[in-house]
Amino acid sequence: MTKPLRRPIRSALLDIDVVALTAVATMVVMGVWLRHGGVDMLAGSALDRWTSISRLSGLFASFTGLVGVALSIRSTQVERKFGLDTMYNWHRILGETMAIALVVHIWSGVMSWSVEASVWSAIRDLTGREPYMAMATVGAFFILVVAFTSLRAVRRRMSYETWYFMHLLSYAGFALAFSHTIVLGGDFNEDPIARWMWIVVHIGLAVWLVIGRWGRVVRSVLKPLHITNLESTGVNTVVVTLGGPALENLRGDAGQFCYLRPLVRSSWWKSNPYSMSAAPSTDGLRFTIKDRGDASQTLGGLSLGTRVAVEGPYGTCTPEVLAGNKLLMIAGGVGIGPIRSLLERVGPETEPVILYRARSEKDLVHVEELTELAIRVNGRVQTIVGPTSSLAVKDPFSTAVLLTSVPDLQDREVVVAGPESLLFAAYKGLRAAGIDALDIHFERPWW
Amino acid sequence: MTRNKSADDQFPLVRRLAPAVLLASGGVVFLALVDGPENMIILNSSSTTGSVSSSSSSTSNPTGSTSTQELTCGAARSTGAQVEFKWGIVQVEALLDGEGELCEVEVLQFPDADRRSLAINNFALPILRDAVVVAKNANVQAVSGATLTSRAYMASLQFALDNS
Repeated sequence: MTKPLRRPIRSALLDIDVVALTAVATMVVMGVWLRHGGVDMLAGSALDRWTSISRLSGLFASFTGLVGVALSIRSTQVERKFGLDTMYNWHRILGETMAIALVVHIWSGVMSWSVEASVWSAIRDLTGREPYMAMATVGAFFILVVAFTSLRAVRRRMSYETWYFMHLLSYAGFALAFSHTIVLGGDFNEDPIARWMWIVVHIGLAVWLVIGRWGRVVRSVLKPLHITNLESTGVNTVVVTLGGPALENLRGDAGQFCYLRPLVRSSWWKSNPYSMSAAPSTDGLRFTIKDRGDASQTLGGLSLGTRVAVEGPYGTCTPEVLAGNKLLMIAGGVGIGPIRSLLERVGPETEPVILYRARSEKDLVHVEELTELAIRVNGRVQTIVGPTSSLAVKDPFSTAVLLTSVPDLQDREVVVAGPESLLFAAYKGLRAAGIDALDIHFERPWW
Repeated sequence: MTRNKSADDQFPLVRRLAPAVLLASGGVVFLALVDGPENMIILNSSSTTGSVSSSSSSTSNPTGSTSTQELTCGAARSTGAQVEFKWGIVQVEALLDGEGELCEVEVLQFPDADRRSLAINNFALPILRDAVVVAKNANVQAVSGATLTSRAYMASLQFALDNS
C-alpha cells in the first residue's frame, strides 16, 4: 500500500536565533580585538594602527569563513528552517565578504611591516620571515582562488565538478592559515583564554564537518536507493523512480528536491540536485529530468536497478508553508516537477490555477496528470507555449496579463518553480500586482 | 533544478580534478621552496669565556648573605652561544648579580644585514631584554613579529645561564 514518507522534521530554530548568533559572534570577534588593545592601537603609531587593522580584518575574515563552512555542512535544523537555497546564498555572501576582509588583512599586514622597512621587503616577508607565514600565504591564495572561481562569470565557464574540486581547496586554505593565527598576531599567541576558545571553535567545527557533511555523503552511499522505473516522456525528458528499503530512512514532502549520485563508474563523483515530480511515498521518489547537462544524460542513460545515493530531500517549499489559501502555481520547463508534486498534497479549498510555461508543445510534460490532479482540487491548468518572441503578449507574467488569466490574483498565495529568468519575471509581475513577498514561495537559484 | 551546461561537461573525473590538484601541488612546491628550515644551530661556542664568578649554579647560592658586591649587577658575566637561524646570528651576554640572578642582558651580535631585520630587532630586542630580566630566566613569550629572533635570543641566553 502506498503511504507518504514521514514528514520532514520541524526545525527548533527561530528567526531571532540568527540575530542572536550574529550578535554573539560579533561580540566575540570585537571582544578579542578590544581585549588586546585594538582601539588604543588605532590611535597609536603607524605600526600600531596598521597592526590593529590587520588583526581586526583577520578576525573578521576567519569569522565569516567559519560561518560559511558551517552553513555548507547543511545542518538539518538550519535547512528545515531556512532552506538550502537561502543557506547557499548566505554562504556566497559570507565567502565574498571573507575574500574582501582577507585582502584588507594582507594589505594592512604588509603596511604594518613596511612602516620601518621598504614595501618590497614587507611583501617578501609574506613568504616567511615569521614561522607559518608562508603557509598562511599559500592558504590565503587558495581561499582567494576559491572566491575568484565562484564569481558568477568565472563559475559559468566550468562544469560544476571542476568548480567543486577547486572549492575543496578552501579546507586546505583554512588548515594552512590556522597556525599563523595561533602563533603570530598577538590576539591568540599571548592570551591563553582567547587561544583555547579559538582552538575549541576550530576543532568543534572540524568534527561537525566530518560527521555532518562527509558523514552524510558516506551514509547516502552506504544506503543507496535503486532505480525501480524509467520512462521517457516529451522531448529528451525522462522520468526516473528510485525505491528500496533505504526509503524508510528518508523524511520528505512534496515540493522538495534531492541530490542524486548514481553509483556507477562514470558518475559516482557527480552529485546533482533534482526536484521530485511526485509526492515522495513508500512507492519511491520520482524525478522528471530534462536532458540538459551531462549529469542528466547519465541519469537517463542508466539501467533499472542501478544504485543511486540520495542526499536530502531538501527545500522549504512544502505544503506545510502554504497557509491553505487559494493558490496560483507558476511553472516553467522542468519546474513543473515540484508544482506537480505539491498539487498532490493540497486541499480542494486551494482551487489552484497552474500557469505552465514551455518553449514548445513538445516540452510540456505531465499535462494529463496535472489536469487530473488540478480538477480533483477544483483547479485548472493553463499552458503558455511558444518562444518568447512569438507570444501574443511580450511578458506573460506582467501584472496585466496575470490579472487577465487569474482575476482573483490578489487573494492567492503563489508558488513559482522554473529557470532563473522565469522566477525573476514572475516575481516582478506578482510584486507589481501587490502580492506580499511572504506569499510568493520559490527556491532561490544559487549557482 | 538543472545546472547550466559548460565546456567541460563531457570531461572525465581526472580532467576535472586536474585544476584543483595542480593548484594544490603548486602550493606545496611553493612552500617547499620558500619555507626554509626554521631550526636553529648552536654554533661552536669556544668563546664561552668571561665567567668571573666562581659559583657553579644560581640555586646553590646562599640567599641570606648580603654584601655590596653581591648587589652589583654584573658581578658575574656569562657569554651565550652564537645561535644561527634563518635571518642571521644572535649572541647575547648575561649579566648576573651577586646572588647569581640574571639582571641584565647585552646583545653582542644580531642580524643587521638588511633594513627590515634591523627594524625588527630594534623593536624586539628591548622587549625581550625587559621580559627576561623580569622573569630572571630565558623562558619568556616570543615577541610578536620576531618569533625566530626571540627563539634564538632565548637559546643563546639559556646557554649563557647554563654555563654561568
